[in-house]
Amino acid sequence: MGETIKGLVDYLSSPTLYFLQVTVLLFAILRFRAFFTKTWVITAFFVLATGFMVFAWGDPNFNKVITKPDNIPIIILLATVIYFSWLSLRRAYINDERTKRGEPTTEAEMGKQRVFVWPDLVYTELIFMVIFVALLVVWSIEITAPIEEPAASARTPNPSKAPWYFLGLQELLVYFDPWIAGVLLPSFIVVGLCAIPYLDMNPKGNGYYTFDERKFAISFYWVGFLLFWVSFVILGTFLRGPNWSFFGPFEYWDLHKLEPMVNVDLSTYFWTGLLGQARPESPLLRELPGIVLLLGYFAILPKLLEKPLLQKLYGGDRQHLIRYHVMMHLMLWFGLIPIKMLLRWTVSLKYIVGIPEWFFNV
Amino acid sequence: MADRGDTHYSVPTLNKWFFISSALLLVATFWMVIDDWNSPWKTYQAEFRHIETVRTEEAIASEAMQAQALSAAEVEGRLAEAEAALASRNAEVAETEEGLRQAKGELFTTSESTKKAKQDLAWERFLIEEHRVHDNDPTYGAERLKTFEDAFVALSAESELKIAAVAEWQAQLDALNANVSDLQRQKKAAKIDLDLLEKKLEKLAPSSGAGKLANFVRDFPGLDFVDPKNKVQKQVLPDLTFELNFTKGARIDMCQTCHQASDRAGYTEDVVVDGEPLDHPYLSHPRLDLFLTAKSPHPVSKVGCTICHRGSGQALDFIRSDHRPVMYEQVGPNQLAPTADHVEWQEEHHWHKQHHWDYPMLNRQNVEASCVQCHKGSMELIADDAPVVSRGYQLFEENGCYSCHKVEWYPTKRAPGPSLKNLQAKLERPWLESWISNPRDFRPDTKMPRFFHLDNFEPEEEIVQSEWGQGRMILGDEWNNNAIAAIAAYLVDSAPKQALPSIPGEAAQNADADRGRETFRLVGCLSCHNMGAYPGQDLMTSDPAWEENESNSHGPNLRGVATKLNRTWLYNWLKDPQAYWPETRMPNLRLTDLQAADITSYIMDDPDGVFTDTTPVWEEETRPYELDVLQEMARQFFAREGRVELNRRFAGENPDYAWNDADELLLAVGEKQIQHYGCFSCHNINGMEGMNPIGVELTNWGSKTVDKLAWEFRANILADANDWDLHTREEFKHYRENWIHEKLSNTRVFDEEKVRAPLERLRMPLFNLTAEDKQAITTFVVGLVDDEVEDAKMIPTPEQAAMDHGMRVVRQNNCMACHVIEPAQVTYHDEDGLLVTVLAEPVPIGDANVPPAMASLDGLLAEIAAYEADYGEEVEDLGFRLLENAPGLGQTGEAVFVVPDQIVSIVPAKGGDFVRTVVDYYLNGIEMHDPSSNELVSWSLGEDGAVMDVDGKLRSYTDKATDTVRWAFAPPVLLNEGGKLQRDWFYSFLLDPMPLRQQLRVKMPTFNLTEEEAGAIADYFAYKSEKNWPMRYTRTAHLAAGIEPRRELEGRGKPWPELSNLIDGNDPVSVADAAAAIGVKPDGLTAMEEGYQPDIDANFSKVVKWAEAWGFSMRGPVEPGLERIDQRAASYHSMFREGQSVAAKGVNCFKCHWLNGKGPDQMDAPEAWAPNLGLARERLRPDWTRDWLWNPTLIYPGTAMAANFASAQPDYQDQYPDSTNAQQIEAVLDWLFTMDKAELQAGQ
Repeated sequence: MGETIKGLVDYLSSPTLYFLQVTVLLFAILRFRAFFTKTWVITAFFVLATGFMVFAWGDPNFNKVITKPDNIPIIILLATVIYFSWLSLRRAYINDERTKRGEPTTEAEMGKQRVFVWPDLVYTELIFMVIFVALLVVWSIEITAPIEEPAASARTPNPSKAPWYFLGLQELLVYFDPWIAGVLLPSFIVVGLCAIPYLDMNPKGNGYYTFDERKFAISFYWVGFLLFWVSFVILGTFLRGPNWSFFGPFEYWDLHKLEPMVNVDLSTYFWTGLLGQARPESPLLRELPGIVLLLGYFAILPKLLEKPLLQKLYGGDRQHLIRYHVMMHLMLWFGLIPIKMLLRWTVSLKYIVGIPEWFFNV
Repeated sequence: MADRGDTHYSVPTLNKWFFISSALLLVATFWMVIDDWNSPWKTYQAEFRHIETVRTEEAIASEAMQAQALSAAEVEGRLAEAEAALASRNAEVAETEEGLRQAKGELFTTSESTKKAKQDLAWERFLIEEHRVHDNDPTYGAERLKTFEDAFVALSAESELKIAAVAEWQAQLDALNANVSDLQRQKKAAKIDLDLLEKKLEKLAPSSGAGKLANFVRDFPGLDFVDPKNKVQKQVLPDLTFELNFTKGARIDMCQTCHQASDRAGYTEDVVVDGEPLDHPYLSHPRLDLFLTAKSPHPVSKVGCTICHRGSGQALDFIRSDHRPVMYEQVGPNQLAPTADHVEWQEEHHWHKQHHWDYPMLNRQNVEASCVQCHKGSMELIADDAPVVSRGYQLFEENGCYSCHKVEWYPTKRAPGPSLKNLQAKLERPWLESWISNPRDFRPDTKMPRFFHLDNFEPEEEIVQSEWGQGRMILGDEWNNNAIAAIAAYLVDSAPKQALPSIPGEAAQNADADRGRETFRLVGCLSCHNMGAYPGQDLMTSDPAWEENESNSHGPNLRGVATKLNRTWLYNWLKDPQAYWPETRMPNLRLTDLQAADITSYIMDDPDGVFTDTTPVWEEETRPYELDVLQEMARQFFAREGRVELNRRFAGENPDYAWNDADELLLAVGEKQIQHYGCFSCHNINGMEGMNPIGVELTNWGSKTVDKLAWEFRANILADANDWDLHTREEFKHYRENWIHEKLSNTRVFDEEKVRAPLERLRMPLFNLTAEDKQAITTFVVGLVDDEVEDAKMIPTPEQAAMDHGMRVVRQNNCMACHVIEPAQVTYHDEDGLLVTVLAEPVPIGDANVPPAMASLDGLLAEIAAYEADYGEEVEDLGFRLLENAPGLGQTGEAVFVVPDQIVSIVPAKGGDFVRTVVDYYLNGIEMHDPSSNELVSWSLGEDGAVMDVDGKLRSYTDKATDTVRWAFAPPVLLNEGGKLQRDWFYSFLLDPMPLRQQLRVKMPTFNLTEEEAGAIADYFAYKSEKNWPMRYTRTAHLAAGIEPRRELEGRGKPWPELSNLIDGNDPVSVADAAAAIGVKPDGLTAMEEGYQPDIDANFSKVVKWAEAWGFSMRGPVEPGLERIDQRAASYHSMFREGQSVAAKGVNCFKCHWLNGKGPDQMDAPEAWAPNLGLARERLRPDWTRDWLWNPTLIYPGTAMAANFASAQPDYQDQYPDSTNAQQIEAVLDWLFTMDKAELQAGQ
């Protein structure tokens, strides 16, 4: 029985299934928020999760990964992110229901009452700060720092893992050329975050929780942060082992696990698969299908969507055309990530455009 | 808005919470401080301080200290009396003290005035000088200056008077106090050691309350940063760097924080504190002579700890420093049991591997691995001190590991296996195939490893489905048999038969097996070969030649060899081994045709049934081969050719590759198989010269990280078999030693459970290794690391490099089989229970005529037991003849007697096994097992055990003494050979030996030495003698010290120190007295006499000074670098005639000695023959010869050479009137070292 469960969990944890489940779950939670925001649901979830931990604790492989001193914060992260996401959704759901009934939001109601900065705010903050410091001290005493071997450039640790907050980016290296995964996408993330106030003109949702009024923005945030950031951190921490190979939580981290590498470039599919001939020598000609696709994706698609989206987001005001295109490009780059992942999983696609001669691989 | 005071949270509640949270933080902070303070090492330091306290208290209570206290008390009594006496003269004392005080006061005022006058004078002088220069007035202020000068001079004179007055008063006072202060000094001197101990104790455990409190506060948590008693002890080692990212950091070792006694002597497990024997970490390092102490070659301040032990030197915690026990012992196949240490550590310290440390501490068994990183150029030199890793290094050579696995610095490139270039002259194909199949079937102790029919090709296993997965299954046995057949076929084919010269007719006709047997036995064959039994065989003989030992296992065991060879090959091989195999270690014995034919006849006709006796499992046969299996092999090997081409070949359509013919295909596959298995790495094979070896390079294998070791499923299998958890399995995989040990135990073990194509399977052959061998090789290979010690590594001096090279050549050519080069060492308890160590050899027990062998203590005791059983008498004491002066016991050649039970340990002599074989044969003949009657029979060539001498006559020596036979017929011992021989002569002799003692049947063979190798041997012996010299000098001087003054008083003419190295009588000075006279500590003197280099370096000049002061002199040491022996011109040595006269008419040297081809007077008694005197001038060192003439038994105990110049009243006065012994010796030397020149001059 135990072994069957472990086998099942291992199976379900493979990157494709894992990604699929998290995606489905996220959207299901958003869609069926009336059910999921019930208190007993989250209670039941945490009870079940604790039960699972108790069950899994006895497994040496699971135990080894979970009790690594530097993985403990990730477990805390897992619990807190789930709880606070649930909490915000619950608040939003309650507010939305109240709005539907014509009542003011809870925040609007609460806003009528006021309290003093001192002692109600600052004093309580101080108390929690002191408790938190005390806890940090105790933590640092009890769980000693995981000292590793002296660093040597010629002998990197295996697995070589980024700091936990960058594990999502490291995961992208599986699918993208390092230039894109390591330079381009992080830059877009920073630029995109900075640009939000300038792109998002919607005044709704300020100062109170809501979902209904900001469906797209919140869903997009859930996908961007929970799916592509947090869930990748979890994947990278617990499910990636030596050589960045995938390992189920109950699987032994075998250094010699083989991952067959059978990925193929789009050009091969096109020239060899479709046309049944050898690929042309010239890189440009060879990669023409991919280039055409990319041009279509980045140039034609925004143009096609310009009219309906401009109408929807900015009321059709062409003053906001630049705003729209900037946002669209950021979104398209973001969209490239799931597209590329799906293509990899379904048709083992390596690169859409692969010109290693020029270090240009997409 | 709420009213003021109406807060959301109740302020008193918040205050409560604030209190609680602050209290929590306070507790956490204290916890942090205490946690930081509470390091385990502090407990160890406290415990060590306790041990020190107890031991100091014990020392204070010891007899010696109590005696000191008593004598001090006695002095104190007298002091009290003296003080009382002084008290009665109180008034006088008070008066004198007052006088002194007054005088001192006056002196003070006067000297202050003088100082002022001096300053005034200096200032005035300056002003006047200035003025004189400015105004150009050289006489300005002369009078004024004079006034100041006068004042100063007057005051100076006055103060001198005052000084004298003070001294006078002081002298008076001292005289009054003299008795008391003298006694005070005596009191202090009487208990100087005791005071030191008491001071130490006071420091360790203060008796005063304030001291106790201070100690408590110093180590209090939070205050211990000021001046704690518990301190981290660290060694910063800038020369020993540690690889950090792109930089090299200094290594820092903090091990001594806990191991506080590690560099102090005297903390052994014998010491009991509080009823418990001392244990780690409170023990001294077991080899303080080599490590840690300032005098040792590896002082802790320069070397630290982790460069040898590895582990994490900066960790202060048992686990983090990566301590490591010997973890498992093999209890069955696949069964490993944790050792007691391992279990204990786990229970006591929760021990586990420190995972994130790449340099785990080496365990006890492997710790010598670290020696390699610095001692690559001196592996031979450290052999005695690092026996395990040296053995590994030697096994690496003996088993030919280096020929497949490159180790960049490994000092040999020779192919270790015999050349196969003319194979057909020696062997037949069926034999060859059986041999390749399993060499150990024929010769159980062979070094040739086994390649086939091993675990990863099981007989019934389906290895491969032929025809690209379409055809039939091929089984493991089929695959192996075809491979063997193919290899043999190729080897035979590649070595076209070259006819060897046949045995000359006359020799062939006259060959005699019996004579061959004796030649075989006496000429030296048995020094490298034995005919030891194969496992399970009982030979019923005590013949030393039948026993395998290290030296006679140098060459192959010859049992069964006649079934393998043919007569012509054997004859030619014996005559000239290099003709067949140019790199062979088998030397040329310069046998005559008849001798070679005799031995050939003895071996091939085998009258003793030894050479045709093979193991029961040995069967000579050809291996079956089949076309379809061979074709499948071809498919695997020639996959690159492509299926189309291969099918053409199999169909016979390619005329160059008619692979439809099994015999044709056999050769093609054979060549590939040989390349696949790398046979050419060890054997020279025609057409495969210069191919690269196939093994993994091991130059820095020990630095390979453990995750790169291909454990495959091995660790899992072991884990399942031993019921290990995941943690243990991972831990096991974290040690390189475990991997290599598994590999050596079964070289194919990592193929277990693997699905592999035949050519992917492991191919390292299985070697014939004992558990110790595996341990040794593992240690050596683990020591092959990237150079971590660039700056600090041991760079051998030219002398060390020469010795290292020499030792290697000596080992490779097995010189030690015949020659003793280091005497044995015996350690025993004497009658007083003291531990004594001497260099000595055993003398025969009771009625036995051959001394017992001394390979080990157990062996010796077994021989004694056997003797007791045979002769029915108890052996009460065992005689040992000293081989080195032993002050306190006697000089070289004298005997000591030891009760067998009291022997503690034995270090066997290095070399000389064959001496025993020869002596035993001369005295006892051979005891042989007669297979027909199943009885022991004695055998020798003539009646009464007579052997044939070099002159062809049969003589019996069965009633002679061991010494006679040994010095006459056995190979010579080579102690101090470098001090005896001239290096150039030695070198030439090694390259082209000649018979020195004409009666010897053992031959010094002509080795296959290069000029460089011969030089290395000569240098080795020369340096060795030079190195021993201070030790010999010290021992001899010490012994002589007791004798010489008296002898000089006797007025025996010329004082003997003119003659070096001579002593008689036995009246030594005690170590303590000698040490006191020399001015060193007794330990230091003993250490010098034992050759302990740091003490010699520090103190030897004192010994020389002391010895020269009373007239002792020994000629200087050999100087190999400045080799120059004075050649004497006959015309300048007026004593030539006297010397010749003394030698010829007085002593009559020619009674025994040969002279340039002229035999001695006793021509009919070969046992009395002595070497050719004509060689002395070129061969011997004059210094050595001088010593030899005076007292030969001091150099070679047991020699037949008489001490001809030792009588109290000098003889030979007729030949050399009014001469002393010393003058006679000098005269004889003149004659010896000039005789050829003198003859030349006479001829002119």
